[in-house]
Amino acid sequence: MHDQLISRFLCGERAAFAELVEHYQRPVIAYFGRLGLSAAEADELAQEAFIRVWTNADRFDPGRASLATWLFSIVHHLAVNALNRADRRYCLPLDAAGEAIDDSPGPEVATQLAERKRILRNALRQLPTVDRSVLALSYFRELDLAAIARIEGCSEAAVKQRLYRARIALRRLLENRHD
Amino acid sequence: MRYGRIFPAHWRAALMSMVLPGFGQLANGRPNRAIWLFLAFALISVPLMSWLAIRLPQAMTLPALVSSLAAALGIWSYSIVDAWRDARHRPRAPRQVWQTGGVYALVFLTCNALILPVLVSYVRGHQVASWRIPSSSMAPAILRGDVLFADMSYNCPGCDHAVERGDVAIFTYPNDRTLVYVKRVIGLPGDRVRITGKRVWVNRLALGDAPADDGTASERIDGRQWLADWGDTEGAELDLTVPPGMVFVLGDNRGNSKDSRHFGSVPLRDVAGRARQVWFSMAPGGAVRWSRLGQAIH
Amino acid sequence: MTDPFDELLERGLLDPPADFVARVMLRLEPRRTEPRWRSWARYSALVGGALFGSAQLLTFALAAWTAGAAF
Repeated sequence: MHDQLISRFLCGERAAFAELVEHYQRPVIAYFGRLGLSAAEADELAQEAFIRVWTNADRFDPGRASLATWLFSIVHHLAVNALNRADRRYCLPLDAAGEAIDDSPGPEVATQLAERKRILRNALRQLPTVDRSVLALSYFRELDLAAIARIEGCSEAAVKQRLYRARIALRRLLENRHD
Repeated sequence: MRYGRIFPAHWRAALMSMVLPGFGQLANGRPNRAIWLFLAFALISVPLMSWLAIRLPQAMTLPALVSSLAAALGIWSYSIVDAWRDARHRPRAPRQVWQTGGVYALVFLTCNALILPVLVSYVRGHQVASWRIPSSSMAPAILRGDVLFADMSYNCPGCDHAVERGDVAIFTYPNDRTLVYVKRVIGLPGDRVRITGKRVWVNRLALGDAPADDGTASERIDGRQWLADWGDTEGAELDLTVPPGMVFVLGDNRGNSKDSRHFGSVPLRDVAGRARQVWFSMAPGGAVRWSRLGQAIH
Repeated sequence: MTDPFDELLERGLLDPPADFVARVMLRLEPRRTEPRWRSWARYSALVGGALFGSAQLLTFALAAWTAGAAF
């Protein structure tokens, strides 16, 4: 992100903040999606995260961390709380609620896509929370290994290990699903 | 620490190093550098150099302490500049888990309220202490207005030097223990001290001849030599054996000194140090006596 | 991992609703600005701390030179 935009946001400029939300909404929502949350939950949590970013802007120290790292620390915190509150994955509805509004492709493609999403989501929900979170963070290009380690509060080596474990487990789950 | 925009990181780091050498490095996330800087400042500079100062030849006390002061201030300034530069070059240094206000407060209190004061009292009590002399009772060896270093590693178990005859001793005044006196040790425990007129004998050995017309007499004992000034006193009659655990002290300015002739022998345990070297001297009028700076005391 | 799934993971399974930014902006409250006296208090606390700490350090560095009186 541009430093100028960040400092405008830190000075309390709403337009700058809107640009930041515009820029980060996709990665944040995608992160919640990869955690296996529903669209409604993701939307609610993402809103909450951005509102916290705005109200707690004075706690952000550009000298200490990048904005992405700080934002995702907040996002991660909210996500972990939400997952704990939902009493692990089993209480989450294992359906495809709210995801099929993808209206661009043709109907049968859409059904196929929705089916794949359902399979993937169910597989993700079976991963341990920490592994799932590392995996979900790893897809966002602005976060490197060190940043993920900070967000997760563990070492870089632990991040690598969790990532590896998550990929193996996910592949196995998806392959079993296919058969 | 949430004053990021009021204080840029490099300002904060420099300020913290100003408060404690190495503190800014701690804020920059460099604990190892912080510890070494603090250790260098706290240990190598003052205690080590004053330890050296009392073991080097007497005239080296002043240069050794001046260089220790320079080293201390140098390390301190380096710590400030280094903290500033480091924070400027790495503005995005990640914050470590231990970098919290509580840790900073604990470090500050431990170092500034515990370690440094303990070191100061150790150095001043056991190595080198500075004394201002507001009386002329030790003239001409020590003049009124002299400020001198005393070797405080003296007269204690494990200390380098025991009390000897002829030492210029710093001791607690027996009749008012809030005061400190400086006088010359003449008699050790068990010595027989006799004063007749303007001559002093210790164990039947005369310290010097009868004074010349101006009242001064060169005195010596155990290889030490000094000038006693009897002025135009009447002299006194005194003959005693110094009790065990006590020492007999006299001021060199015999005509103008309140010493063992008046308050008796001094407990040996109250002798804390011996004068070594004058590092500053100001005449009563306020003029600096440059020629006395660095003068060793014999 | 099979390709379509990898692609899905990459995209993140969910897309932000079109009106997301607008809804966030609607929920914003005016940010609490820090009262002026607090930043002043902070600033003077730091300067005061620096002065106090420096004085402590100078006392330490000058320990050998601080003279008591010996009569």
